[in-house]
Amino acid sequence: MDPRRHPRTLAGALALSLVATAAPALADQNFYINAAPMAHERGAPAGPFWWAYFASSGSTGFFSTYGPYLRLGPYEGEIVALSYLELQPDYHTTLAADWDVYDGAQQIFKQRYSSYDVNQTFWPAAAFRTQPKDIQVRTRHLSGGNISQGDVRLLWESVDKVAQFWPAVEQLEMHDLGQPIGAGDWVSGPNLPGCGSSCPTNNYISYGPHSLPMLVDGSYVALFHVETNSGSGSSAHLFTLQVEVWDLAEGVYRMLASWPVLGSDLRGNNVSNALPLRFTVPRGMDTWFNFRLVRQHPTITIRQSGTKVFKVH
Amino acid sequence: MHIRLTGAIGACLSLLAVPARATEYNIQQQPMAHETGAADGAMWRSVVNDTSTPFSTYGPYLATAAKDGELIVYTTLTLSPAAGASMSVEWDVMDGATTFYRKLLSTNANSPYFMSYALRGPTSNLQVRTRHNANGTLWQSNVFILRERLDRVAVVWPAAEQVRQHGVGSAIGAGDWIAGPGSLGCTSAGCGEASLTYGPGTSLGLTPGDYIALFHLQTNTGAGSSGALFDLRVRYWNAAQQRYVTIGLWTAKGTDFTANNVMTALPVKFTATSAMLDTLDFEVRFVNPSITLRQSATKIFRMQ
Repeated sequence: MDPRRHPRTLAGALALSLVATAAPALADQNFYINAAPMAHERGAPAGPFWWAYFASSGSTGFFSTYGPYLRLGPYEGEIVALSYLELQPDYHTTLAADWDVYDGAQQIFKQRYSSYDVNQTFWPAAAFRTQPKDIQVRTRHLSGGNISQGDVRLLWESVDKVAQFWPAVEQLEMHDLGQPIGAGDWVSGPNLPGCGSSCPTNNYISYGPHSLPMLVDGSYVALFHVETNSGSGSSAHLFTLQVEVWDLAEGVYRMLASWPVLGSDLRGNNVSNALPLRFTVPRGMDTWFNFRLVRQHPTITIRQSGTKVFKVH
Repeated sequence: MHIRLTGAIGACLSLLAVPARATEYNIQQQPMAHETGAADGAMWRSVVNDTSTPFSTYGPYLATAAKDGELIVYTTLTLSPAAGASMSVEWDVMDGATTFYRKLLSTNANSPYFMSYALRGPTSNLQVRTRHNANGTLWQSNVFILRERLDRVAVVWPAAEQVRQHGVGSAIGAGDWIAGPGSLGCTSAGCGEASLTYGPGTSLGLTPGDYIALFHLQTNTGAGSSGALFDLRVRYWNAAQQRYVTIGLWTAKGTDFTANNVMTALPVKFTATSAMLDTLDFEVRFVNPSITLRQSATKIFRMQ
C-alpha cells in the first residue's frame, strides 16, 4: 500500500506528513556559502560571504569553495547554477579565478574571471543538463588577491520555470529577420528573409512576446537557446541578448539586462547553447516584457530555439 | 479630427472580420470545384471507368500569411474499385505552380484514407486536389484547413512538458529529444521497439471534440524508403481496464519524409471524449530500431 494514497492509518498519516515535509522546498536551492554542504580548502566567513586570500602565484591554486554535491538528474530538465564573485586584486596584480560546474567526473562548464588592479564583481551563471550526478559548483582561486563569494543557487526547470516561449510559436509575428524552421525555431542568415549576402546589424532576429509572461517583481533568469554556424570561440561580437520591460508611467521600454554575446561565450558551432541572462523586475513594472535577440555579426547564420524564464526565489 | 468614430467602427469591423476557427470547406460548394462527379449525401462522389483522369475536387484557392504559422490540410477519401480492377487516386496540396505534397493511393479493395499534410505559409492560392485515375468510385468529405494562429490549443515539448516520459535517449537543445544507436537506453545496434517519448498524461485544457496532433520528427536515415520507421500514437489511460487505449495511429514510413535530417510535421487525427481528456498521451515508438530520431514539439489543433 502506498501510504501517500491511503493516509487513513496512523502510519499512513505519518508517512504523508513526512512526504509533505520532504518535498523539496524552494529555499533548498540556495546554498549558504558559509555552511555545509558548501565546503572550502581555504578562507573564512566574512559576513554573508566567503573570503579567501592567496597572494603568491605560480601554482594551480585552490578551491576557495566547492559543493553542494546535490544529486540532480535529467528529470529535472535544464538546471541553472548562479553565484556572486568579487575579485579584489593586490596592487598592480592580476587576480584570476575559475568558476565551474563539476559532476564528479567531468567539468560541465568553466568560466575564467580575472581583474587587474581594480575590484570587480561578477555574477557567474551556467545552464546545463545532467545524468544523475552529485553536482558541485566550484571556485578555484588562482592567486593574486582576495575573492569574496556569495551563496550558490541552483534552479531547475521542473520547479523554477515560470514561462517559456518559442520564436516560431509565441513570438511568430515578432521578427525583423529570418524565417521559421522546425516546430518552433527561427533561423536568420545570409540569403534568408531580411538579408542579402550579408545581414543588417542591430536588427532584431526576435523580440516580444510582450504580453507573456506575466512576471511579478523579483529576480529571474532568462535562458535563451541559440546556435551559430560559425564564430564560436572567436572574440567577435555575434549577437546581443536583451530583456526589456514596458514602463507604464513613462510609456517606454526599459532595459533590464543586456548581454553582448561573443564567440568565446559559445561552446561550439552548430550546437545549441543555453545562455542565462539575469534580470530583476522592479516593483510596479510587472507589465509587458520584450526578450530580444539582436544581430551584431552580418554573415553568421543564427538559429534560435525556446526561451525559458526561471524565478530566483 | 474623427479618430474616435472611425476607430470605434474600425474596432467593430475588426471584431467581425476575425476569421472563424478551423476553416471547413464544404466539398459540395464553392470555393471547392469539380471536373466530374456529383453530391452524394455529405460527400462528393465521382465515378470514372474510362481512361480520363479528371480532378474530382480542387480548390479552395486560400491565401494565408506567414503569421498563420503551421497549416494542416485534412480530408477523407473512400476508394471503391470496379470489380476486378485496381483503382488509383492522386491527392495533392499545391499553391500556384508549387506542389508541396503529392500522394498516390492505389487499391483493389474498398478502402478509406485519412489524408492530411502540414505546411507553412504564406500561400496565395492554396489548393487541395484529388485526381481520379479511373477504375472505380471515389467519395470525398469536406476539406479542413487549420491554422496554428487560430486553431492550436496546446503544445507539448519532449524535453519540457514530457521531460520525464521517455524510454530511451536524451534531451537536446531547448525542448527536443533524440535517440538512436548508442544513445542512453539503446545498444550500439539501436533502440529496438522502445518508446522514444510518451505522455504528458495530464490535462491540457481540452474539451471533447476532434483534434489533430501535429508531431515533429526528423530521421538521420531512411527518408524516401518504403520501410516503416516509427509509430505515432495518441492514447489515453483507461483506468477501468488498466491499460492505454490508442485513439489515433500513424505508422510513419520513409516516404513520409522528403529528406534525411529535416524536421517534418506529421499530423494524426483523433477524437477525444471527456473521459479521455485528463490522460492524453502522445507516443513515438521505434519500428526501425537502427535509425536516429530527433523529436520536437507536438502541437494540438482543434478541428471545430
